[in-house]
Amino acid sequence: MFFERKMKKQNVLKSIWFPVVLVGTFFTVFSFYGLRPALFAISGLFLIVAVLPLLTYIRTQNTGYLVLALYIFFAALVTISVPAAIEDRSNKGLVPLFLVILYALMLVVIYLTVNRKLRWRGEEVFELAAMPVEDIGDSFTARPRPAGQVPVSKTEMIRFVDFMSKNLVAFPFKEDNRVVFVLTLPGNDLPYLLGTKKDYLEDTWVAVDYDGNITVNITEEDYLLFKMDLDFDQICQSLGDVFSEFLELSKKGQESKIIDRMNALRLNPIN
Amino acid sequence: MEFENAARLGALISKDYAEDFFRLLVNYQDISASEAASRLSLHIKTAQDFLDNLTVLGITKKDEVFEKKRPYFRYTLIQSMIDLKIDLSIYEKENPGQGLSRLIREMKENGANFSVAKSGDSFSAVTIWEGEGRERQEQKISLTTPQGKFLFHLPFPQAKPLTIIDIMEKTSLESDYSAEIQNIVDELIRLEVIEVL
Repeated sequence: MFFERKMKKQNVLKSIWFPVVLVGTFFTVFSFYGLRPALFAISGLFLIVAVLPLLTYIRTQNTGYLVLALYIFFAALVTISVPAAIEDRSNKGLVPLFLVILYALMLVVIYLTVNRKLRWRGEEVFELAAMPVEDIGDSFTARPRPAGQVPVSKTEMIRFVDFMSKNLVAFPFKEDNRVVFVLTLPGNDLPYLLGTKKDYLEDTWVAVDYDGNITVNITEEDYLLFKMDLDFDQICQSLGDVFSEFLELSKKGQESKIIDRMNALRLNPIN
Repeated sequence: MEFENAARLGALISKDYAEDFFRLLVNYQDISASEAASRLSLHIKTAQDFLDNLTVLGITKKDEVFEKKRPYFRYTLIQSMIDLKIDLSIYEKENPGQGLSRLIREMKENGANFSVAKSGDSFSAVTIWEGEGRERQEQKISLTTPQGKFLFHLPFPQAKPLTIIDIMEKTSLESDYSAEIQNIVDELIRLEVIEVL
């Protein structure tokens, strides 16, 4: 099925910055200090970068990111161990074992990536919300909008929150009378993962209270992610409807259908 | 009592010398401003203003008398009981239901900032900036809970407008609040935050 994309394409550099930095660091250090320091340098980079997927796992419980963290960690172990093995070929140590684990983890990471298990889903939610909305000229206003009601029990809400978090759809903020889901839109995730952002007021969010009332807030910055001037009232309502539909599916235990709906958009699996 | 007179009376009786002044007026058949001023250690102008204001309110009367050829006024208390009553019902909107059928929505690019209440289902305040450049001033209107709930459901710019009564129904607000709601709507229309269609 063909869907018209309504969001602007993300800068490709955002997806490939790490390999570029890695290769750049390797060749720069190699040209000045030789192979051993170059491998140590990229090993250090691997260790630093491994923190990010580990944090993602801790905050979302998405096991895919634990695998990714382990993969990067073993890549660091391999790059640390290899120089010694190159200098004395009879002393390979644990390098073969590390390589086997690294390759096995790489296959799992490729599988997870291709199946969009590591993808932040906020962009897909936005695309789904934008689908039925018309382009009628700028109508943005910086205030939340009530967007319907869906009856929900506390148990159902807990299950939904768990699903949304684990599948990287949104960061949930639990409040006394409601749960606020901050969409994981491009550029929004890092401060939440690092724990530097304690509130959601400047982000796009959808709140569902325990009476089932849905409220939507879209920031101007995120509204500008759309290629066209979509009717702001309609896009807020539509985003509320998407959440309402997701919640209904979650209540019926059909979370896989939510994932299928987002996967059907066939957005780039890497973001 | 009319509000203007009540305000004048309120200002008079709030003076720290007012009680002593009335004590004099009650016990004297009549008194001049200079006599009262000397008894209460006030400036003669202060005493004269006080007595003149009482005369305007009909609490004292003043008679012109002559000392040799020099005229002056003597004041006599004519009311031993002051009744301060203000009928606030005159400010009540005559027909609170009138205007509820107006189609309204938020005006495009109005520059207002709506602050969300802690409960998350209403606004607590609207901030509007008036003027340009250095003259620009912030006006923050704190909202009552019904007003905050009403504005939370106000249609967005370019959305289908709704009547005030429809929005009130959507917000589950009773008609008792219609005057309060219309008050904020009228103010926001004046400030060009809401448009009427």
